[in-house]
Parts: sequence; C-alpha cells; structure tokens
Amino acid sequence: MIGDPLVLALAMVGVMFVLLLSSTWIGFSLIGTGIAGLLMYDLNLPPTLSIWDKIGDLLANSMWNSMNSWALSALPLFVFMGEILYRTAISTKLLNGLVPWLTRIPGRLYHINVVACSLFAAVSGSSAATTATVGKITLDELTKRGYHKSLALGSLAGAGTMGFLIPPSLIMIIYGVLSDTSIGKLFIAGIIPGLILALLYSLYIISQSLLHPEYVPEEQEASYSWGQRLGLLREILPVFLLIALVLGGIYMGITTPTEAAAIGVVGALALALYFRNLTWESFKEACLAAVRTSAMICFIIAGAAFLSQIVGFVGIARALSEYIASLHLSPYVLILVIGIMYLFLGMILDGISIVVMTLPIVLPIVVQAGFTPLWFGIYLVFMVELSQITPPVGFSLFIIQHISQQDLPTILKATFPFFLIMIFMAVLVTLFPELVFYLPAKMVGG
Amino acid sequence: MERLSRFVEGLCTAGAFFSALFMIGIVILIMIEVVMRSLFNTSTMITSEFSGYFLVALVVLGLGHTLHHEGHIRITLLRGRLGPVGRKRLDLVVGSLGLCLCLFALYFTVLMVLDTRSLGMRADTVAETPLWMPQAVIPVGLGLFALQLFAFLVRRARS
Amino acid sequence: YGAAMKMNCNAIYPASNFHTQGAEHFAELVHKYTDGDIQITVHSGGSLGFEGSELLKAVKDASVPMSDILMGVVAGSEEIFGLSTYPRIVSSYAEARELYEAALPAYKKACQKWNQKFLYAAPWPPSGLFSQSKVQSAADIDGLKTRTYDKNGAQFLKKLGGNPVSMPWGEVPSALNTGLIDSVLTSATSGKDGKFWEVLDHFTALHFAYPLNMLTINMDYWNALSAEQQSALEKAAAETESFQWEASKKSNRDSLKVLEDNGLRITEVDAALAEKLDAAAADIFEEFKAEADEDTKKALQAIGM
Ligand code: NA
Ligand code: NA
Repeated sequence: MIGDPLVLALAMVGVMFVLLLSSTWIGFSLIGTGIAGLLMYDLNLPPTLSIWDKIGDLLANSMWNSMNSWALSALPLFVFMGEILYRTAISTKLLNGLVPWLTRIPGRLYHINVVACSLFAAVSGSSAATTATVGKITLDELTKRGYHKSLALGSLAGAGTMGFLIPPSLIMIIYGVLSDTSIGKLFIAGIIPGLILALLYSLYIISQSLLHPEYVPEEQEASYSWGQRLGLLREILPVFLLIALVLGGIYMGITTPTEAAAIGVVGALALALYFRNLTWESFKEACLAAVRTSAMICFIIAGAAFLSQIVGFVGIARALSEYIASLHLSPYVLILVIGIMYLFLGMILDGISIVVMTLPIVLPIVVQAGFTPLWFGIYLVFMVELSQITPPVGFSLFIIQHISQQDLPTILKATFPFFLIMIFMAVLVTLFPELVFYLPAKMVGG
Repeated sequence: MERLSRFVEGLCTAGAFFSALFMIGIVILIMIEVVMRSLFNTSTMITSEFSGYFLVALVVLGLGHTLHHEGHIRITLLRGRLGPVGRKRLDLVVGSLGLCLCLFALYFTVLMVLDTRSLGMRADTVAETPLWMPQAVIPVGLGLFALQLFAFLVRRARS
Repeated sequence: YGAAMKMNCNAIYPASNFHTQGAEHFAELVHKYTDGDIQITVHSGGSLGFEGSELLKAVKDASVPMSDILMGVVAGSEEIFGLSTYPRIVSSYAEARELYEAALPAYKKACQKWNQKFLYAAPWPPSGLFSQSKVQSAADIDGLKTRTYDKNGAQFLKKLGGNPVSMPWGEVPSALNTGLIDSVLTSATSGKDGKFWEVLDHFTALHFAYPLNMLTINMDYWNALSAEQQSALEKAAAETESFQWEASKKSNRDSLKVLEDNGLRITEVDAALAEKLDAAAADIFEEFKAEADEDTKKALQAIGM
C-alpha cells in the first residue's frame, strides 16, 4: 500500500513503462496501469465494498462515458473523409495543380508536402488523416523524380502535424469541450501560428537545397507558362471547394465545428461521385479502414479515460499540481517545465490521451500563472503535434513507416530538424502571444 | 482450430460491418440536423445524443476486426529484438493479459447494462432513451474482442 | 475502521462554480466538526469521470463515495428529482424554498432507495432568456433559435413557437457569433460567465426554473461512520445548505448587476406574457403528472401539486 500520491505516481509510471515496452497493446497498458494504481493505493473502503467491484465499476463507466461523446463523434468522420479522398482522384489532382507553382522555388517539389498538408489540414481534423492522405500521394512521386528521401520524409512528418493546428481540428474540439473555451475562437487562433510554421518549414527546405544542391535532382519538370499554371489551378479546385464547404459552413453559422466533419464526408463523397472514381469496393475499403483507425484511437482514449479517473481518485493530479504550485515558478519557467513534461508524455502517449489526461491538472495551474485558456489551447496543440513525431509512440511516425516502408531510425533522423522547428515555434508563440490573439480579437464580439 | 479462427473472423467482420453502418449513421444524423435547422428552422433534438451512442457502437464493434488487422498499436521496440521463440512467448503473455482485462471489462459491462436496465435509468434528454439500450452494445463488442484475442493466442501458440 | 477517514467527493462543475464551492465549504465544515477525522477531497470539473445521468448509480455503487448532483440530470433514474426543473412552478427564491421543503421528504426517501443519504440541496439562480431582440410578448419568442439545457426548456419554447436547439455549452459562444443560435435559456450567472453582452442585448427574467443541485453520500460509507461523525456531517450539511441558498441569491444579484453594467437590458415579464408562459408551463406539468409513476404521484399529492 502506497499512501503518498507522488510515490504512487512514480510506481504507476513504472508499471506503464513495463507494460508498454513489453508490447502490450496501448489501451490495455493504460487500463492495466490504472488497475495496478488502485490496487497499490489505500482507498479506505468501507468493509461492505470490494476493491475489485469498485475497479470493475469504474472501468465499465469509463468505457461508456468516454466514448458516449458528441464531440468525439467527429473523429471517425474526419478519418473517414481522409480515407475517401485518398481513394479518389482528388488527391492526384491536387498534386497536378500544385507542381507548376513550385518549379521556380529553390527546393522545388520538396515544398509539395508543406503546401499540400497546409491545404489538406484545412479540411481534415486530424494529423493522422492529413499525413496519411498527403503522404500516400507525394512520397512515391518524390522518390520517382529522384528527390532525396530524407527531406521528403521529414517535411511530411513535420507538415502533416498541421492537421491539428489549422482548423478544423479534432484536438481543438476536444480541448474546447474540456476547458470550456470557444471552439470557434480556437480554430481562428491556430491560423497564424499554422501559416508561420508552414513558412518556417519552407524556409528550412530552401536553405537545405541551397546548402546541398545535390539533394535536388536536375531540372526535369517542364517549365510552365503562366497560362498553363492558371489552367492547372482548376485541378486544385475540388480541394478548395471542400475547404469552403467545411470552414464556410462553420463561419456562416450553418454548422457547429463538430458537425463540419459530416459536411466534409458528404462533400468528399459528392466529389468522388462527380469524378466517377469511387467504386463500391473502394468505398467499402474506405469504411472499414476508417472503422479500424477509429476503433484503435478510441480504445486508447477509453483506456486513458480510465487511467485518468484513477489518477483523480488517488490524488496524483492534486499532489502534482500542489507540488508544481509550491515551486512558485515564474510563468515562463512554468511553461518550460510543463513543455518538458509534455515532451516526455508525448513520447509514450498519443495526442488525444495527453490532452484528456493532463488538462484537469495542468489548466488550473497555467491559468493561475496568468495564461489564458485560449492561448494554452494553441500551446497544447503544439505539444500534441510534437507527440505525433516522437518515439516510441508517435502516430505520424507509424503512418509514415507504413507508407514509406523505411525503418524507424531513418524516419526519426529525417524528422529531427522539423521537430526542432516545431519547438522553436512553440517558443515563439510563448514569447509573442499576439500571434495567437490577433485573429480571435478581430472576431465579432471577440 | 482453423474453423474456430475463420468463425471468429467472420463474426468480427460482421461487427466491423455494423461499425461502418453506425459511422454512416452519424453522418446521416448530422446532415438531417443541419438541413432541418437551416431550411426548416427546427431541430431533431436527438442528433448530439444519438451520435454519442453511435460512436460507442462504432468503436466497440470494431475492436475485434481491428485486432485481426493488427490495427491496435503496440510498441515493438523490444519485441523486435527477440528471436522467434521469445516473440512467441511474449505474445502469449501479452495476449493472455489482454484477454484477462477484456474478460474483466466484459463481466462488469454486463453488470452495468443489467443494473441500468433494472434501475430503469433514462437519459436526461428529450428522447429520454433507456440507457441500457445504447450500453448493451459494449458487452457485445467486448465479447467479439475477447474471441479475437483468444484466436490470437491460439494462432501464436500454434505458430 | 480507522479514526481518520478520507473520502472523495465528485463535483460536476469547475472549481469556480458556486455549487463546487459549496461542496468545498461543506468539506471544510466537516473537517472542523470532526476535528480532522473526516477529510473530504472535492474533485471539480467531473474529473473523476462522472458527470451526467449515471451519477445516482455511481453513488449507489460507491464508485464515488459522495457527489454533487444536478437533480434534473438524474430525473431519468428517479422522476421526483426532476421536480425543480419544471417551468414556472415557482417564481421567487421564497417560493422555491417552500417547494423544496415540501418535497424534502420525497427527495430523502428517493435517495434512500438509491442507497445514499441526502445531505443538502441548493438552487441554481433562476434561468431566463438571453436574446438579441427584446422579448416583451409571446410573439417575440416565436422563431427564436434558442439553446436550451434540458427537455423541459425545449418543450416549453416549442409550445411558445420557438426553435430550441441542443448543443454542448462549449459550442454556445461560437454558435452565437456565427448566428447559428440567437438566444440562450440559462441563468444570469451562466450568462455573466459566458460574457453574453458581447453578442446579445437582452435578458428577460422568465423565472423559468430554480433547478436544484444536491449533495449525497453513499449509504455504506455513511453507515461506516460513528454516530458522532454522522451528526457532525448533518450539522455541516444544514449550515452549508443555508449558506448555499444565500450564495445562490447573491450570485443572481451580482450577475444581474454585471450584466446591466455591461449594457445588457434586463426585462421583467409583464402580466400578459406571464399568462402565456404559465399556460405553456401548465401543459408540461400536467403531462408530467399524468405520466408519473405511483411513487411520484404520491409525492406530488403530499406536496399538494
Ligand atoms: Na485541420
Ligand atoms: Na510520441
């Protein structure tokens, strides 16, 4: 029996590590850690109650309560939309439309990941869906044309995570619900940091191609006249149409952010039917693939919900926040400490679990230190983005590994510079919070 | 054994099929809500409630199918360094643990559903849905998941 | 069973909410009256994983030893708990208190049935209508797109020709901004917290309802306490109850003032509108009575409703 919550926290982290590293499925690892935590803790139950009944009740409740969620129901829809788009010509058209615009910039087609991800991020709510959809089109194409794989892989990993930062964003929806922050404002607030991040990625690609000319293959793309470029622009039109549909619906007061995902699905289906390249077979495969991804993510979420319930019961959250509060850190140091904590958590957990698990502990501390929930939401999105590309559990890494068939160390090495750029961006947002507040302040009644 | 494996796979595919239907169901519910609100200025009052129920069904019914397609993530960093025998042993241990946890959850979700039903609990919504109905799908899904975990153990034991 | 006992108390609202603060107040009093023998830790924001219609069952099974419960939310488990959510059955704090005291035996009995001990209850400030345009007559409600928080609110507005919309509280500000909804049925306190004056101009004090929150403790935990400890808890509960009723009144007054200071115009309901509102409300209550189960019917008769 362990009485001190902080000691118990360490013991639970130990159990979690053993379970995770023993290759237990993540959902089960989290559930197992929670059970171990309750067994180690002296709960002070009245004699009439059994500890196993209590654990079982909590587990059943968290399976039901964590998934019976309106906000979360947008997740499978965003995944579904990505699967439909991937299986139709819309994605190839996007590539055709973008290529002519990139041939004159140093680094040429390396920028395709950044641009395509930025665009896709504006229709897709998750980084996983963005990375998967764009990566499946671009990686093959770049290798075929002789581009260096390292920069291609890295830029995909980095840019793909913008799916969470540029609206619509699943993480922001979940954060908004948990923290009672306006989801509309969060969406708007992510735009400027998102665009700057894309710009930084592009600058890095330009500098690398100037420093290492051998990374960029000899000119082989035909040069395009302005007429051709504009003509080919209509190839991107379907994607713009989707963006207008999804975001326009939200900001014209037709749909709520949660509902926008359904509009996206219907829009993607309509486009696929219009271009006549959605077969019954590929539709079925899109459905099942979306089911698998959603079940995988939500099983982890249910496990995380159970674990965070236990963390609440045994008082770890309280002890930790009291401990951090007792350190009397200055606001910037506090944000630094929290950032390091998130980097660590981000290695072993996925983004959504991180948000769900830590928010009840961290948000009050952060608000106490003078930060607004809106700003912290954007900061948290950066932390979640980082978690997507840190091993051993990094959803974007898994996806890229799956698409590119490269081994993990190669992908990690390629991703590292973009990881650093993301950290730089998180620092920038902390030092210049106006980057976050500027657009939301312009909103009606902001 | 081969027959068991195929039987379980068939059940889980059927589960995934229903999952997909629930996913499409969410899309349809939301579209009806959006159309009714913007064209007829009225609301179904059930969309947010039923979307939640559908999500539960989508997830739990898809668990087994996802396991079969190796869709559930696990960290293979150390596992990858073991030899085939070590891997097999590790999988048997980990699979048994998963099966135990799944059966544990299954037992208590059955109790939850029975309790919710006998207590006559309803949602605090316009529909006043009896809560045991949307909850009942959880043990079904966990049952499929447990079968698939069992099949995984059998497959690994015989490999 | 040891002398010092620790108990977790689940609170569904954030730490800043006055119901959560009431639970904290109760915990402090208990600590004081038991000389630190009983330590209650209040977990705010539903962070223990319980927040809705499952709360009555959660306390019954001791998944949480104690919880703050919005009574209307568990009306699906026990009808009588929905009583305070019916529209316009009371129209002032005094009347709300009278009704509460009359219904108290029924509440206590229902709690007992669910293996828990009723400790105290206190009301939310009365809900009214926040809107863009002034609401003076029933005709002004016709066509409003209003976010409501429960089925009674939805039925009530529908009867008056409005278009109730259900959506999570977190989506309300952006929905008001984009025009998805143009009005909200809620308390002055919630309207103040949501800074509604940024988008809306009017608050009509409908005195729609004074919904109650209660604090209950699992009966096994309760029975494990000594007689002394039990009376200490009862004393703390009684004091917290009076404290919370005052806090609710004060919160309502202060919030109305903040709303007014920020330019929101506050309208009381005139006789003509009141008549229309009462007619709609009476329909809903009659339906409730007609469909109620035997226990609820008896309880209502005992109150004289
Ligand atoms: Na996005
Ligand atoms: Na990670």
